[in-house]
Amino acid sequence: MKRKLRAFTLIEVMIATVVTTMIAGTVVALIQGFVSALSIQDLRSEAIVRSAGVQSHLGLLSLKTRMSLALSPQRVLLWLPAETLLTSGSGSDAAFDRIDLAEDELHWLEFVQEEDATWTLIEWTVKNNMVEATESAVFTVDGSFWDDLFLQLNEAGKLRRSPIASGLAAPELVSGLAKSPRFVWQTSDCCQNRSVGVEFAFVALMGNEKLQADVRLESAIAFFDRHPICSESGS
Amino acid sequence: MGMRRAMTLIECMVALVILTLSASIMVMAVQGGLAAQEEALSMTLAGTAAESRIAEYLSKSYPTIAVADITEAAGAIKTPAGEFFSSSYKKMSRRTVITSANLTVPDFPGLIVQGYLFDVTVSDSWQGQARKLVSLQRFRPWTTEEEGDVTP
Repeated sequence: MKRKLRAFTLIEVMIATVVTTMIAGTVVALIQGFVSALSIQDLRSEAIVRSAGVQSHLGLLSLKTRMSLALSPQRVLLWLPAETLLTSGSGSDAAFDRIDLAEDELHWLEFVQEEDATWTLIEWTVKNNMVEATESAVFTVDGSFWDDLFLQLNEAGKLRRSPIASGLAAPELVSGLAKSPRFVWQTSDCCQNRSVGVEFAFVALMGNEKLQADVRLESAIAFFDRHPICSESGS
Repeated sequence: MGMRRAMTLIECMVALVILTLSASIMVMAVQGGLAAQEEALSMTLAGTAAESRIAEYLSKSYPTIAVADITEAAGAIKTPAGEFFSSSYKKMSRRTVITSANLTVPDFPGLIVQGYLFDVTVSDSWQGQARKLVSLQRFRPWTTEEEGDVTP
């Protein structure tokens, strides 16, 4: 017996279209929700992991730091004296006045802008195989001296570049959006300053919406060592 | 050749219910992950706010520190420079308790170290209730160098 074939009625086609549209709409909304959730998760994960990385690095550095020698929003210089009898202040007063470039005593932290407009926190140290063992700088609290030294060493390729955290953005301050991530400190007087901190942000774009997580980290210079030159200069 | 049968309405309904339930479970799982991550980020930021306060008191000249109990309300926590923390911290409040403390040192009987104990707690509000996110404690000893206004 041959069964008679019947076409869909208009009502059936319309109902099918409506149901299909509803399901498709739900699926699209679900996918968009997942994508948004993943963007938020990415941002939060970055903020958690990279902040922890910066905090531990900053904490370790500030534990070894005795003084900050130069302070600016984009770059700071920390002095980590070599803890050896002959080259440190505990060995001789003359040695205390000298900063040995080959002894890893100088650590610059700098925010550098990358080509994609994000910022990277860099640590610069002197390549000890590129300087003479006797090469040194006389201790000074003149920040411009250390800036010049940084430029000279960098141009000569004598600095080692170690990224600490990348993909950073300018923080949103109460007064408005900062121009860039920045360093913060207790006082700009190096002879008095006993803390170093950073302010930065993580940004993700979700469609037209901008997600931002601002982070502020601070660390005390646990074993601050006020150089005798500070007393001489009256600071 | 056997006649092929179309799905019944009941079969379609059951399939749709299963699809909806699966999708709902996936959405709930993602939402749960997001909520946990938000809490983790809050705790990370709360830790930085607490650490900032500790760093402030460790950096201060010792003679200027005094016993205190300071509470900063949500949205009003400040940096050592007196600026407000950014909007990421706006839901957080911070309490700083400074007490004079004498600590004994293990393996050195009779040795007592005088100093201040800093206790910093950062909280936020969760479903109308105050929720403690982070609590940090740090001891700052007094040493003879402190008299010369120098951190040991």
